[in-house]
Amino acid sequence: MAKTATTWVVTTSGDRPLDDIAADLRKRGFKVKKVLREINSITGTGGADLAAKARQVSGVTDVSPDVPIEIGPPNSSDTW
Amino acid sequence: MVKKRASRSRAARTGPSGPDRTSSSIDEMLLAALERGDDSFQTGRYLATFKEGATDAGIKALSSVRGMRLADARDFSRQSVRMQDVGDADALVFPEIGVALVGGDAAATRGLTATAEIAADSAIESIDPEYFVFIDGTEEQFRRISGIITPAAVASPGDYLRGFMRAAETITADLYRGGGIPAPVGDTEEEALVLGATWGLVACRVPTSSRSGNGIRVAVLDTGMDLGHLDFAGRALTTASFVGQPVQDLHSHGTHCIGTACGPLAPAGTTPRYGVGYRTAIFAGKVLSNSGSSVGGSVLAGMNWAIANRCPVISMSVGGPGGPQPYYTAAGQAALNNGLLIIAAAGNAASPTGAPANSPTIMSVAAVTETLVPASFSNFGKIEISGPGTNVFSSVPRPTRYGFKSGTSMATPHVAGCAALWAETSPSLRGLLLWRRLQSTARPLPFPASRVGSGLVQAP
Repeated sequence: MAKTATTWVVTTSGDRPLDDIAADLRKRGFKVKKVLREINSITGTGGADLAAKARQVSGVTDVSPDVPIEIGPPNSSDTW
Repeated sequence: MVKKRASRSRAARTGPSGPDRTSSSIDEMLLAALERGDDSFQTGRYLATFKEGATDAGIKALSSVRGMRLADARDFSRQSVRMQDVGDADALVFPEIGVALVGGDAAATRGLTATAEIAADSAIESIDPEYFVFIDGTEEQFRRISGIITPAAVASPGDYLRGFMRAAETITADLYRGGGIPAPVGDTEEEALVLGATWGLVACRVPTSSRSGNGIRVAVLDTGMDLGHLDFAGRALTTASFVGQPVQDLHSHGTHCIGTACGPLAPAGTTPRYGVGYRTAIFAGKVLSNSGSSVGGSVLAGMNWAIANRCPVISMSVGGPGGPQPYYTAAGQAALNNGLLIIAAAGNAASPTGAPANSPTIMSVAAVTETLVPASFSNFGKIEISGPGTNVFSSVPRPTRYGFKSGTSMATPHVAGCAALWAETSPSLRGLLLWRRLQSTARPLPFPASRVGSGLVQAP
């Protein structure tokens, strides 16, 4: 089975339709997972070189790798 | 659509006899769990969640690629499925919600377990264990929780459920009291013995407020909620999960936070009041798994959902270290643009405020103790306001029902609850105006703003 690619979060300016941006990202190898219309962001997977390519897309303001979040196991005193 | 049909009647004659078949009754699975001494609350079956819009492809993947015999809820009258009627099917598909229930043996022999790696191009989003959902009482409650399966699917569940819950309570008590395992520090679970209200609510002047948060939508993005907790029976409740697991909270963090922000005016018995917005409309978004972990994409999906539902108050007791993330900042701005306010926990590492609370568009909450001094663990730097964050009493999932926790995670729902009370006072108090009102009415504390912000949040 193929290994999971890096997950990215693409933030946009909101000045350009998200679907158009998503289409441009796909052309650059980005596999769109979710189009979050309320917050003008797109999540998806792609190779490590995707960030530089995606930043060239009109309307994209940031491309960051997704980061893990951990609040601790159940009943742990070590929470967020 | 390609489906390999299962025979409904064959199972009764020749079907496998293991307790984790798709058609297994809850009775069988509970007995099996008791026999193997399993307190994980897992049934042995799995839930395969299909990617959005990929239900047909998911069905094809299970039947053609994996060779499974499938039953389809659409083949049953009004999609009301009794599990014993699915016969020898390896899996039961619920197309309306894009989920398939897979028998344990069928999943194991085909490599479809929760630890299996899923190809990026698969139609399956995730595979998660199925968990028991405990209920107290009526068939109507069960129907509301399950949504699809009729009460007849759990013929005579009461005795086994009650017995299992008693066993779970006994195991928990033994572990903590006599089994050599110390109770977690800061998370001592015990019954409250006094009437009145928690110290946190008193400090925030909640009991004397005439407001209840009536009708205000409060989104709590966390580990979900114990949907059958009796303190929330009859409440307006909207739920969604963004982590591929049922909303039912098996962690306790989410149920605790929802309890503080939205808990009842008068809990049953001698339990003190612990909730602020007792007439709020609860939006429980599960963005953290039952193990307490997640990724930014899931959290963002929850924020997107809360904003789409126009929740004026969005409480987030989640986060991680590091600088402000542009995507959280954008989400916070989107909320403000829609007249909504995101309130987030600063974090408990005694270090600079983490993300998402460190975004300039998101209100950051620090924790104070019962003596109204900054909690030693509370992060600092970008802090807008403080809330009660040590020894906080609130709801936790059954069978325990109530417990104490500490953290900025607990301070945050105090602020969110008070925000809902303020929002009730005027429809114009939304977004940035609500942010400013919370700060301008906070009780000043003799500590730097980098530790406590404008002070301790106060109810109207």
